[in-house]
Amino acid sequence: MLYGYAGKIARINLREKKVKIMEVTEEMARYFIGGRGFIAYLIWKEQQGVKPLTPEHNLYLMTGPLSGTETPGSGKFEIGHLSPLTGGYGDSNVGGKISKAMRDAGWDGIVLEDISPEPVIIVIRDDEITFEDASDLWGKGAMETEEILKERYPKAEILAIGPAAEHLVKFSMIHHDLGRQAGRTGVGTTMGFKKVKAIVVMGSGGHIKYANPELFKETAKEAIIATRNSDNYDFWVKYGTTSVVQWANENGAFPTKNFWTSYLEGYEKIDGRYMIDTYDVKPKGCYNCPSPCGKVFRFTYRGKEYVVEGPEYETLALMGGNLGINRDVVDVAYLNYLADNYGLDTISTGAVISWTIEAYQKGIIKPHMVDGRELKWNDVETVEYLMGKIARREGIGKILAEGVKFASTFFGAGHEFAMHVKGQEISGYESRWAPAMMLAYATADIGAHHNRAWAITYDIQVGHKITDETADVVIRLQHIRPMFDMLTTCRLQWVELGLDLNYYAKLLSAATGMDWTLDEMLKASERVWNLTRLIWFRHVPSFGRAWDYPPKRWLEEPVPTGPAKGAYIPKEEFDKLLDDYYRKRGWDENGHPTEEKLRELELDKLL
Amino acid sequence: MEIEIKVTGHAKEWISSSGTLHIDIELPITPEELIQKLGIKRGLVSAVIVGNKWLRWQEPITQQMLKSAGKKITIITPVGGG
Repeated sequence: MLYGYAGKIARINLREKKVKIMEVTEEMARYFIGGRGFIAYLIWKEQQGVKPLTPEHNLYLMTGPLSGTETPGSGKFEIGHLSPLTGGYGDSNVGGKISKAMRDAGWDGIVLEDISPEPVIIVIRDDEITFEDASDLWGKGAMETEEILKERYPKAEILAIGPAAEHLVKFSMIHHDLGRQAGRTGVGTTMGFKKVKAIVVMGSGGHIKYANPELFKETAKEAIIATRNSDNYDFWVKYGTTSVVQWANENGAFPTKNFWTSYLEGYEKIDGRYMIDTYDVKPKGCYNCPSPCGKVFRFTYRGKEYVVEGPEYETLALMGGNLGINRDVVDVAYLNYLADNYGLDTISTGAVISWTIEAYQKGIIKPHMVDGRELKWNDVETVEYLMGKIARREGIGKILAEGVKFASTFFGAGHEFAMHVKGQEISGYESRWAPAMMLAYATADIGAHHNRAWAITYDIQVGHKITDETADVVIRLQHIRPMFDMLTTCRLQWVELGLDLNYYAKLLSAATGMDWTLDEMLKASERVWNLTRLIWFRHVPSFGRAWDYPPKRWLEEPVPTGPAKGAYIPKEEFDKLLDDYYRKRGWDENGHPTEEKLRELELDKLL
Repeated sequence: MEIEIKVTGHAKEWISSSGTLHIDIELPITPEELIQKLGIKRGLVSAVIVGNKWLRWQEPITQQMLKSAGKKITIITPVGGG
């Protein structure tokens, strides 16, 4: 018996409507832990020669050994695939209650194979997995779909997609818990391609045994108390990530007008302090979360009432500052609502639309391509118009729906301000003065995303310089942070509230009966980091060093205004940093893991 | 007045390994002046809290505020990027 795991994964063939059971082996648990570790392992084992959005392209939805347990923040759920947006490895996580439901139903995860001939809902009730016609829901918004299914299945937890995923917009997300999303890498696109409108999960529980249940519960309780006793607990619960808007502006880190600059004049009206102190905003948490960061925002817009979970920092940055929006935070909340219901990732959507506005203003996109409209900064109607075009793939939306890399290639211009790495649009931190953060974005294994290594405060601490330790700091964070996506739990209790990382080793050991130390967990995380790198090399023929660079804007254009005015990192300096990063990782000059590194991580025998 | 300063968040070890500082200050003092006095890089601080109040940088911290907050000021280092 495999303690801490359900021990099985459901492989669901959507064309044949058949389910096969796959065993979770001790080797998988020992070397890859769960969540993103299992996803990377299975992609490597099963997806050789496969291209995204083909019948053989699988979508992997996984829990980890700590998800849905008494561990603080155990409501996370990991979804991964070969990304249709980037072509390489992709994953994204979502908070809420779905991981608890999946484990209560007795599954460590599910794999979606092939394509359903018709729109379908997958209904999981413990061991029973059935399929229902989704024709009546096809075309409906993601939130609307979840609300309808909640009426039909009041005790279920639900994952749903919106119209954007149905139209195969490459940055579509998967929605859950009326406001949470697995937003990045186009996981919703893959689900939409498979014609799966929703997944409904109900479990009766009792399927998973812990090796040492008393120790597990005692340690989890201690960790929850430690989290609640943190000195910044009240501040965090009140403001969540929204407080970052002020800090980012004061430090010249706030994406503004397609990262043209890094300070938004008038940011105070979209800052967390204004939002929380002015509007009806209540905290909301995921399963077993002692420190809820979600913000349920009720507001009236153009005479209609809305409820949205958010906007959190990334949305305030990409659908606020990056679009030049500074009149009032309700503008961002409204756009957040639209994106959630269309099923669009707010980060990529904000980046694609901001690129479009800049391209229009530079004459690359002509008025006739946008129905004769003028595309403007700080204009909700511009954003609303383009978002609708993208979500429905109408007119120019057909091109923009492919992401900013494709759009700049299609128009043959605007590459220098197409703000992406590896085809994934950059999230909310200007890095022209922050070499560690720039390196973190450039080398993140799903394309530019902050959650792999948020290293920007190291840059502040050392005076914005490249140091002998810059690469080490990024590498260490790239092992710690994705470790949470293997467990699969929330990292915020650690990173925001100071919970000791050793708690996770104690919890994993008590759950599984395997004797884990924190160092061993970090080694497993490094193993997965190297495995995702191998996936990129295997699936993207031109992959290598050239894919590890930030956009030209960051290497050539000094920040024009604000606290970071004049800052940029010349390519020669970034090159030296990248060399140092590869060397310290045990990769060759093209960024390929060396045989020695693969042996050290035992990947030579595991793969 | 002698006060206790709690430093929290993911960058606290760059300011104080224990997370607690004790300092004698003359009042009133603004958060901006306090941070300067402590020699902390401004970019490593996202908020200064007295009681339950998130102070503005130029807002004076008074004796009365500190007494009702148990002579404690909390310095919050930036939220660590989700």
